[in-house]
Amino acid sequence: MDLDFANLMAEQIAAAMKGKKISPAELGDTLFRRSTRAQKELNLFISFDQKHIAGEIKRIEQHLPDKNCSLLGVPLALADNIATDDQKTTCASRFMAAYQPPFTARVVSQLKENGALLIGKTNLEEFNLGCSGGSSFFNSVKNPWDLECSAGSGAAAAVASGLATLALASDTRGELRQAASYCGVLALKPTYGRISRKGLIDIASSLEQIGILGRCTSDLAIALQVLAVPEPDNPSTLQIEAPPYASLLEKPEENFKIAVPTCWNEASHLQDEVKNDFQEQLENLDKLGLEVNFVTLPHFKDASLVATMICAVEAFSNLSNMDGVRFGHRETGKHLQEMYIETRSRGFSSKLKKFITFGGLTSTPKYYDTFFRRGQKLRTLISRELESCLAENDLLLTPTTPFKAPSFAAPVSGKEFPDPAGYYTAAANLSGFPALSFPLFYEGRLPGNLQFIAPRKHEAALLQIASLLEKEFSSHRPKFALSLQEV
Amino acid sequence: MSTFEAVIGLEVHVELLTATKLFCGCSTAFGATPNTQVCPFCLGLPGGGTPVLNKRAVEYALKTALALNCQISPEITFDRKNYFYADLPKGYQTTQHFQPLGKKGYLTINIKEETKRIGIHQVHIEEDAGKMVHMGDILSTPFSRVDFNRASVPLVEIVSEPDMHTPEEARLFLQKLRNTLLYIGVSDCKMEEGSLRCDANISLRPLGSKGLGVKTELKNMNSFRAVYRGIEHEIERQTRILQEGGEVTPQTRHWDEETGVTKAMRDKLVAESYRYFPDPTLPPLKISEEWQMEIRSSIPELPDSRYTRFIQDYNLPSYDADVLTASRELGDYYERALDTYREPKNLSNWIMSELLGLLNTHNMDIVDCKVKPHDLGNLLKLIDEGTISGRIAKTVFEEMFATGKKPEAIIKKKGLTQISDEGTLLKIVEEILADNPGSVEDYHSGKDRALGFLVGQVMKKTKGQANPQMVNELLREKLKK
Amino acid sequence: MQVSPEELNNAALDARVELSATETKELLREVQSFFNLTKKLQEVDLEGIAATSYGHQEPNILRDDLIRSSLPLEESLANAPAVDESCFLVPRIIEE
Repeated sequence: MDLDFANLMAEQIAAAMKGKKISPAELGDTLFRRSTRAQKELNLFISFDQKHIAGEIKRIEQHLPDKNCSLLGVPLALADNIATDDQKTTCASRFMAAYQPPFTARVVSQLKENGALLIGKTNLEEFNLGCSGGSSFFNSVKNPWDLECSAGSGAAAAVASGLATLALASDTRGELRQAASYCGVLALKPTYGRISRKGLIDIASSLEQIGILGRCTSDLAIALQVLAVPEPDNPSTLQIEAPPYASLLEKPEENFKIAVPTCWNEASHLQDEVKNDFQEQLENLDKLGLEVNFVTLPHFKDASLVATMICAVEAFSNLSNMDGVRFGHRETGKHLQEMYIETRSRGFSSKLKKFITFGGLTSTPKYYDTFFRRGQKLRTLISRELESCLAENDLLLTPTTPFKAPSFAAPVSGKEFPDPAGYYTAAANLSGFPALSFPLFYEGRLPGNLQFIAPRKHEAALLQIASLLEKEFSSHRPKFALSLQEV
Repeated sequence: MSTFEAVIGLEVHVELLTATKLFCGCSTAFGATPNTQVCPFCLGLPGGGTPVLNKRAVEYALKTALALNCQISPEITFDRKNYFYADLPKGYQTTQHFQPLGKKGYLTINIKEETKRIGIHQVHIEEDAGKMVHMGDILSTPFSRVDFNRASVPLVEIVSEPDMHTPEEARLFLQKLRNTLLYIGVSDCKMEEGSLRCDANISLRPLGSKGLGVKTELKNMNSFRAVYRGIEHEIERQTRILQEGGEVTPQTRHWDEETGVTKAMRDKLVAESYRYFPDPTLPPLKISEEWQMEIRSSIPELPDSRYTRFIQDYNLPSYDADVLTASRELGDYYERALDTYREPKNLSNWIMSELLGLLNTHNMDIVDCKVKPHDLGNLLKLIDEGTISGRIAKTVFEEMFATGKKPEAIIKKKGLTQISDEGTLLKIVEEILADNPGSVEDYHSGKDRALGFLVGQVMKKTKGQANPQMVNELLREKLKK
Repeated sequence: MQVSPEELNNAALDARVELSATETKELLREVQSFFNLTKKLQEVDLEGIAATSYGHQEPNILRDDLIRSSLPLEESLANAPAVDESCFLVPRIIEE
């Protein structure tokens, strides 16, 4: 192949496909070879096979005459909690291991209609509950930068390794952004409801939103443009038209007022490395002429705790359909209720069982007001703090995670509620605000990260700041994490 | 022995007459092949989509709440009631717990010549569960079959205040409620198909006391009779327990129609709480003043005001007004017939005795009646005009009931017109007198009964078509001579 | 606030999962540490603050009462572990 898709942006791939500079058949072969190799190294997929990729190539060949496909031939990875009617959707759960939805998520249809090529379904934590490892029925995903470390998710690993140009995954308390920061890729969690949630198997409906992973801002902008189309008749999506993101990137706003919460350095498990990197970035932003203000957000630091209070109760309820009657795993039981217990105890990981038990506990009358209801009120408080802060500033800036990709040998977190990885990310889920994780690359070290949060519906500001930083940092951009190019 | 007073509250679930389910576009038609009216959402499949509220369901529920004189919440929310059961696809039922649609309403019932007001605690919208079919008896069945066609069909739940004290009051309340719902057309209220279901909360307290005793919840009453008998039996059962110095156990009991007793249902794994919380997938819904006005204006005249109007405008006895307003269709029928025939009480008599009598004999409803109101009015006019006798009219009506033909056509075809021509009648009277000298003698010797016999003979001869009044007069005149 | 193992086991039962002795012990510790972390939050004055239950502040949307096609029977039943010709099968409802 003259052109390697892995080195190209989505726009370039689509152009090369249209100009027949990339042959679909070759693209399919290469993708399958590299996927096989990446799977062996990283365990990033739950479902991918040659037949499906061949089917995708055939579908794309039929799309070729259609010049309006902005994502023609663009390789896409999809987290396995987003439904597809031609591949199992397991949520990385034993209970769901054979589940074949009779429908496809709207986001998948939207991307496919625009020519995207779905490589396969990627590994995640069971029902996307955090990304600290230990609950996937299909084992953990290795980080392409360091195989001894966790990638957080298969979707992020697929983008980091150059296999997928774009990936979709969901974000409940920050999972999308956390995995992106571990793997050194861009992540955009849009405003709650900006992108359809139809076909997402969500664990916490009021927090969870599908987001986009990619390697450059322009790719995120193109994908967002395709996805941010109002869905009439669906009260969970926003009924507003999206602005033209790509053209906004051409003339970026450069006078951003950026706020940094004073509690940014109070995270538990905050690594010195992350702390130093962040301070260095603040100086860089200053050099770029951006106005940086420190602000006091009294409850920003509680966001992760509050999101956990809410998430556990919603998870308890959302997963109550997992009963072995209409779908899923089933154990025998002497009677109905015993069947439920046997089925769910064996179908769920230990971590998930404990989490929904926790949700069951905090929603009993005894704890309802002091935990769940109080959590919902604190959620209002945190949203208001963000709202007033972002009424005076364009963006809020923090690190994405307090630590870099955790190693399997010494995991930073895992069993605790809340997951310390969510310290900076959860506020955007509570408020429904859009947020973006921007990767930072260093010689000989794991990638670092910055997180920007914008007011509701202002994804454009996130894409613009990312575009600006991308230009500044272009010389630092390393080769791919994993050498798949020779495969 | 102490005397107790029963305290009864009803919880009534009513399926709304929408074409589709509460949150998805699946059909609600009754009787389809199991699991053919389901989609990923109402089947509770993972990723099966988000709920989208059916506008008509909300409108019907609003109509119900307004017809039951409720205060309407300006904003309503939907909440999840979490529990595990085989007929519950999502593991929770979406209902309204925190901000129900209507509160503090009432209905009136007429009992022992008095009007009594029964409070409505609340009216709310919720989704139905699926249906379970057991292999034989529920106790011995090795497994059950589940059909989710009914899952997520829209319901309104009407919760009464515990304002009733006898099975009769409960029955009257339920009847009045059903009648009202049929008037406003939001449900077909068929207890046998489960589109109207009634549970009762029953407790006893010493007569004169204001407190509340321990209550039991009574389920599985599938007819008005069952509601009456079930409550009656449960009151007797609780009375026995209390009189023997025992304590009533708070529990759910099932009415067993065959054995005529209530039985406790044991279910050890009932959740300690339903963990109600707001459904995160259903944002609150505003119920604007304009919308309320619009729905209010679509509510037809309700039984109570129609009842009063029938008494005032048509001078009907309260009994007649009660019978004629017992269903919207019957009241409509009466008033349409009244357009043709302006004698309210005569018409009422005919409808109550002849029409309802035949409907009852044939086990039919007024909506199935072939006799058009206009034709019934005309029939009664023909009696008043003397064209036919009241007796002939009954025969004509039977044929109208069977065929739906117009009275004039039946009378003409069968030659049933009354004979009122004096010459013709005189000839027949003379013949009868000549044929029955014995009776003539009896009459003259003071036996008045003989006149009746002679009238009968004339009627017999004319196949009932003779004008009875004229026959009477002619006979008396002839016998004087 | 102190959580008892019984409370946890009841919550597990309500969630229809069974926790092993180890899991109960671990969870007890985790929940207790969570409760300790939220001590300060229990003191925050939330008088007059409304609860947020939804992901956005948009109004609800109503749908017209129009029938849309349902799943074909075989697709409805396709994922189920136990079915007959048209129904899902579940073990007996009554215990003992």
